Amino acid sequence: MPAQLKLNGRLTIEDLNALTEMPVEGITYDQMYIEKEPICPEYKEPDQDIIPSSKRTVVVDPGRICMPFGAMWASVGIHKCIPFVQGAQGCTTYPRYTFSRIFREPVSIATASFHEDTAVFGGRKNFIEGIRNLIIRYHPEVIAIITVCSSEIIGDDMEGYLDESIDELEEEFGPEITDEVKFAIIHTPSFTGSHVEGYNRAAAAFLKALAKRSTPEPKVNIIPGMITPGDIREIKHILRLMDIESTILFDISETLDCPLRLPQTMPYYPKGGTRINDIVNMGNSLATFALCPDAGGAGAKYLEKRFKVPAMIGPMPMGIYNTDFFIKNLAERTGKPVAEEIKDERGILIDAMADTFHYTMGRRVAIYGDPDIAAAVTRFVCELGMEPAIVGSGTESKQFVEEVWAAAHEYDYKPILLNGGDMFEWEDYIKKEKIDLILSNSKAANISKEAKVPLVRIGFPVYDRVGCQRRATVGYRGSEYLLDLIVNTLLESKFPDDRLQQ
Amino acid sequence: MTACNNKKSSFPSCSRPSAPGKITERSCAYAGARWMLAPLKDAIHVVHGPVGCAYNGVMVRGTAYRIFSTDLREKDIIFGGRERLARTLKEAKILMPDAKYIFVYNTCSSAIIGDDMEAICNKMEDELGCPIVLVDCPGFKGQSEAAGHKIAYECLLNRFVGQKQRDTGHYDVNIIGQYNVNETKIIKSLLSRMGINVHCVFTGDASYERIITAHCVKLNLIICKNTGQFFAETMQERYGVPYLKVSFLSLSQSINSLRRIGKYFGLEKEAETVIDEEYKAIKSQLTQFLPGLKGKKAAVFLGAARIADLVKTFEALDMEVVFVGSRFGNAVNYRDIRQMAKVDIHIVDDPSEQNLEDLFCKLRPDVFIAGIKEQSLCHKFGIGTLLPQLGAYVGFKGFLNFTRDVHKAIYAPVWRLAREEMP
Repeated sequence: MPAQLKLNGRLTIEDLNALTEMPVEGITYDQMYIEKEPICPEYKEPDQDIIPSSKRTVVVDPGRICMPFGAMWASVGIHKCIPFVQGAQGCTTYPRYTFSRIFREPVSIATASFHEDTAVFGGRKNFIEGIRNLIIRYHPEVIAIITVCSSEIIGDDMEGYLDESIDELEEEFGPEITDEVKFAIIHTPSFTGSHVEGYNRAAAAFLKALAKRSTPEPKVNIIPGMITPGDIREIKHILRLMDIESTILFDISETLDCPLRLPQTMPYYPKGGTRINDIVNMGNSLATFALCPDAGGAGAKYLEKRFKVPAMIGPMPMGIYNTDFFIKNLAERTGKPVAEEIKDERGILIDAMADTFHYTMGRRVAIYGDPDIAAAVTRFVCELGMEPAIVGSGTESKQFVEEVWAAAHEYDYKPILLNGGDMFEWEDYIKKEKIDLILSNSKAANISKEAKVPLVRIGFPVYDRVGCQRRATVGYRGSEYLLDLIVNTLLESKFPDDRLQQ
Repeated sequence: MTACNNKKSSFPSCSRPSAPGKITERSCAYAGARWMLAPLKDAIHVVHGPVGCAYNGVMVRGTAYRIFSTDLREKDIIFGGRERLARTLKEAKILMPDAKYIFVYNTCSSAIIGDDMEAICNKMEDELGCPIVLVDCPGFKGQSEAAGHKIAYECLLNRFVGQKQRDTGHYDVNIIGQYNVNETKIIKSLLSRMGINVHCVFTGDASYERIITAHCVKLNLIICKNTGQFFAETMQERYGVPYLKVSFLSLSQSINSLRRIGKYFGLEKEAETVIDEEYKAIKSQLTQFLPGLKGKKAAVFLGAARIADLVKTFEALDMEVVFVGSRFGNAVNYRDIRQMAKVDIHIVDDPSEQNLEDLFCKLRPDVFIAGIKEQSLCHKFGIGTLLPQLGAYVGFKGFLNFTRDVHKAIYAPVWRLAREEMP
């Protein structure tokens, strides 16, 4: 008797086990036509003159999104914050899809729903109506107002509209209504920069709008940059071991990776996120650590300039050297000793490296990602004895070039550096150079299949594997996880099975 | 909330722009046009605008497609992006020389700065020697992605269909409005066993050669009822190709559709054979799911084309549909649902996130059919979902898939475990 027929009663364990086995075939997924064919049928060498991005206008398979995406990423890291995007509907729906794909979490982002009339008459009416709707329907505590290309080209005066909107709301509902909600305006015209710069601007905009200086407190600020919830948890773990109080600006660890606990309340808001009071207090800290120089560095610099809070910018704490640097600075700034547990964690990572150098030494890798992540990964693979053959960043960045060259000089490698190049250019180098491993995001999945080089997924975005958002790749423990990924991928692809049983 | 009350005859006011700030699930015209045109793999797709639009447009229905962008920068916004577009088209053609035709997508930025893209496309068409089509789909155009669907179909109709003649076979048909590649394959196999030859599938399985000769068929089969209808009507007007509305979403609809197609071509006997064979293959397996589904509550939130068919499907499974939402449905869609539904259904046009939360908390469906974005929210409320883009749910075996997946979504142990209190 199939288990599903008596479901009105309580299920036993046996029933549950029976349920997970679905004997019925229908059309199985392997019978389906899944499009996994390579991008081009066979490799034809394209015109070499226009392969480098610098020599052509066209961008093929871009490795960067526009600025508003970064600003939205930052804003959803704040408790009960809803970004309001002054643009067309696609400008919010596409990022929401992207968030859902990467994090598998709901993300509320409001839009001003630009239509033809708005393009002609400007976005004032939509903005005022939109802010009103958003406040009375969803009761957010913070609204991050994010512009996009269309509103910037039209020339919407966001500051003026906001004043007007607040006036109208107070007239209609009384002055209390705007007491409970804070606003931050983030100007992110999509035609400059990239999502990394958008995050950077969001950090600066929120601190400008909210941070104050009162009494100094013995804590540190962390601006993590566009790293995963798992990474932020790892940073918190390090701070806990060091016994350091902290404020993490844009703490997505509990907004983009939340527990499912019933019953759920309405409207749905994640429990976590950076609290407003903590942001206000950020002017009182001992130091600001911006883990990614390009994503968040501007916020740290603002705090230094305005409130004399020392800014410690980058590099991303991944691998031995970078994490040592981060922890040394943490200890110096706070006067706390480095905890024994952290020294042990470092020892475990070193031990793991000692056990696996046979597999990693001399391997040539290709790296692509956001500048901060790509630079940190480059140094880490150097530490593993691997050669960074091609290093690419979707976003142009000076810091990225400096960091990669510093690592390359130290370990005596000469990588091909693509600063701000698209994935097409990077792909072409992979096909020409002999590469053993690719370290990149899910966008490289097709390239990896076509070039028959294994891929380790890291950075933004990873949407074709689950759990990447929960795993840390920063800190000693995170690097250890990344090392395991790298070595296991190499074991799978480069060594026959009978050689692995030591 | 544009929900309607539960009167038998009423349906929500629709085809209106969504209110700003209500957190709509709608997208823009560009998204709609990409949705339609992305599966055309032998074309070059150039997005004229900032790089973000191109990045977002890479992924359509879970598949990554190659895309070209002009990457408009600050300087181009001020001085105009015409030069950049012309150079981009030239370089794209060098990088992808096999491409037969080029689509150029308009975006918000390029539309507002007022680049005369039509002129550049015409000029470059002569220079490059392949058709270049401007898809005029800036994000603010229309009210939702439905505008983009229509624009994309207009491009295909006006520029390609009817360009070339070919010998029409006696049993040649087009399928209009089928985008899922897996489902296309199933429908094609069903029809080919009846002896019917599917010429072009818009746009799940189409190529340049087949699009330009798409008017040389005996019949158009419409699956998408909104834009597909418009497409088929225009083809009837221009080339005298009749059309037939079909649906392969449930058992009864598949049988009905195959019979009608059989009748049209005088292939009744073949149709019956196919129906018999297919039905026998799934019958025994189907019955084990049906008792578990009986009386369960379902909710549907999709684009527009398939909602009515899905309601029918659920009713065939003896399930109760408590909620139907559509991002861009029109009065006809909603009236169809009202007419066919046995019980009263909440019909909501363009539901916001608040409406969806309302649905999850108050109506408490057992299974929710929606896109990936609504799926994550739904799971947070402890309700199972089904992703229509993931599987193949048409035809007979597809119906078995559907039933199995709905069953999975309802009886996944996680929902019961989620409701249990920790001891």
